[in-house]
Amino acid sequence: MENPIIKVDHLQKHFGDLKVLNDIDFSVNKGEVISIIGSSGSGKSTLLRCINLLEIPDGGSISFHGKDIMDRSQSLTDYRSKVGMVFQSFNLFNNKNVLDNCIIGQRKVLKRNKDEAKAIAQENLKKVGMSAFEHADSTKLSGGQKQRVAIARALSMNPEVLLFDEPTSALDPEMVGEVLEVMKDLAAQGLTMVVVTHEMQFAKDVSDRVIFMDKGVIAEEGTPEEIFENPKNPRTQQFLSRYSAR
Amino acid sequence: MTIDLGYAWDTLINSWPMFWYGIKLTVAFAVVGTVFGFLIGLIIGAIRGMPADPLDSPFTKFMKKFGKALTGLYIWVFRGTPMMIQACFIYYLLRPVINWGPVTAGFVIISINTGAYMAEILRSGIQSVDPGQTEAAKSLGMTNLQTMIFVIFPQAIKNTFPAIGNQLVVNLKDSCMMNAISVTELFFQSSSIAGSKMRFVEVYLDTAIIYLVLTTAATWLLNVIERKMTNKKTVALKEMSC
Repeated sequence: MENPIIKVDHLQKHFGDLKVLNDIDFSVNKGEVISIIGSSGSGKSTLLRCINLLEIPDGGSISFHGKDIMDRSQSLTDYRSKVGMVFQSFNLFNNKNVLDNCIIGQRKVLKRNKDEAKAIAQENLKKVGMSAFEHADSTKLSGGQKQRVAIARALSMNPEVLLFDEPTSALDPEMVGEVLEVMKDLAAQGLTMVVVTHEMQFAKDVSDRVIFMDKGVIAEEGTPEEIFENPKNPRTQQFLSRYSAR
Repeated sequence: MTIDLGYAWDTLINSWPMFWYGIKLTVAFAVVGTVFGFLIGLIIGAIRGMPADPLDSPFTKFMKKFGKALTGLYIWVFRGTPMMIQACFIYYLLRPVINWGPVTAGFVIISINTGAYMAEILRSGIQSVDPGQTEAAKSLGMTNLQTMIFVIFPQAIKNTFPAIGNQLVVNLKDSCMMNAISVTELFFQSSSIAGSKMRFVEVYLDTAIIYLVLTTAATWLLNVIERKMTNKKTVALKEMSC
C-alpha cells in the first residue's frame, strides 16, 4: 500500500481536566474521502483542528508524508498551505471581496504572481459556481455562498488534503444542498478530503471510509456499508438509530 | 462684564498673521501627533493584542510577556500624567543631550502621548476581530505578521475609526499644552497678542472661535472619510445581481 499523506499516532488532547482526544490512530491516504461522524463533544472537530495545528496536541504525533509536523524545524506555514481547512463559520476575510479572499493566500504564502493567482482564483470560483460574485463584498453573501467561496479559497492553494469542519452545520437548511453538491464534485475529482459532518446521507454516499467517534476515541471505523448497514459497536448503533428515526 | 465684539473682530483681522502662524503650528501638531501616534499605537496595540500561541518557543513566550509588561508601563505612565508635564519633563531632560528645539520636542511628545491612547484603542479593535479570521489566515499558511497586516489591522482600524479620528480633534485642542515649552502654537500666540494689547476677553474669544472652526472642520472631514469607508463596497452587490 502507498504511504499515507497524513498519519495520526496515539493522539492526545486535554482541555483542562477534560480529555477530548484519547489515543487516536488513523491515517489519510491519497484520494480518499473520510467522513468523521459522532455526537457533539465527541472530539471530531478537535481532531480536525489538531491536524491543522489550530489546536496543539498534548501527546502522540501527526506526520505529513512521514515527517512529524510538530518538529519545529519543519515549516509550519508550508505544511498548512498544503492542508486546507473549511470552517463551520466560513471565516471569509471580511475586509476583502470574494476574489481577493481567494488570492491573498496564493500571493503571500505561495508567492504566486498577480495574474497567476487571479486566474487560479477565478478557476476555483467557477468550480464552486461563484464566478458571478467575484467582486462582491464577502460579508454580503448568503451562508451557502460564503461557504462555497471558502471552499474556493482553500482550493486555490492547491492543497493535498482538504479538511472540512462541519461545513454545513451553520447553514439554513435550503443552502446545505448547494455546498454538499460542490463537495461531491470535489470528491468525484479525486480530492483527498476529511469531512467532519452531521450529514449522514453525504457520509454514506460520498465517503470511502467512515470514522465514528465517541467520547474522544474512535469507536468504530469502516466502509460506509459497514458503519451504516452493520454497525458493530452498540454506541454506533445507538447514534445512528437517532438519525434514522428522524 | 463686557465684550467688545467690534474690538474682537478688529484684533482678529489686525493680528491675523500672528494667529495664522499659531494655527499652522497647531494643525501641524495635531496631524503629526495623530499620524505618528497612530503608527506607534499600531505597533504597541499589536504587541498587546497578540494572543499567546501554544506553538511559541519559550523565548517567544518570554518576549511576548516582556513586551506586554513594557508597553503596559508606557501606557500607564503616558495616560496617567498630563501631557503638559510630559512635555516639560522630557523637553528639559533631553535638551542637554540632544539639544533639540521646542517644536521638535513637541512633535515627539505629542506623538508618544497620542500613541498611548491609540494603543489602547487599537488593542480593543484587534481583540474585537473574530478569532475565526486569524484561524482562516493561519489555515492558509499565513504567518502571524502577514495575518496582522493583511487581515486583522484593516478590520481593527475600520472598527475603531471613530475613536482613532477623535484623537485628531483631541490633539487640535491639547496641542495648546505645548505652550509650556514655549512652542508658538495658537494658544501661545493668543497669549502674546492678549498680553501686548491688555485685552484678554476679546482675544481669547477669537482664539476659542478659531479652535471651534478647526475642530468642526476636522470632525466634518472625519465623517466624510468614515462614510466613504462604509459605503464603498455596497455598490459591488448591485452590479452583480444579474
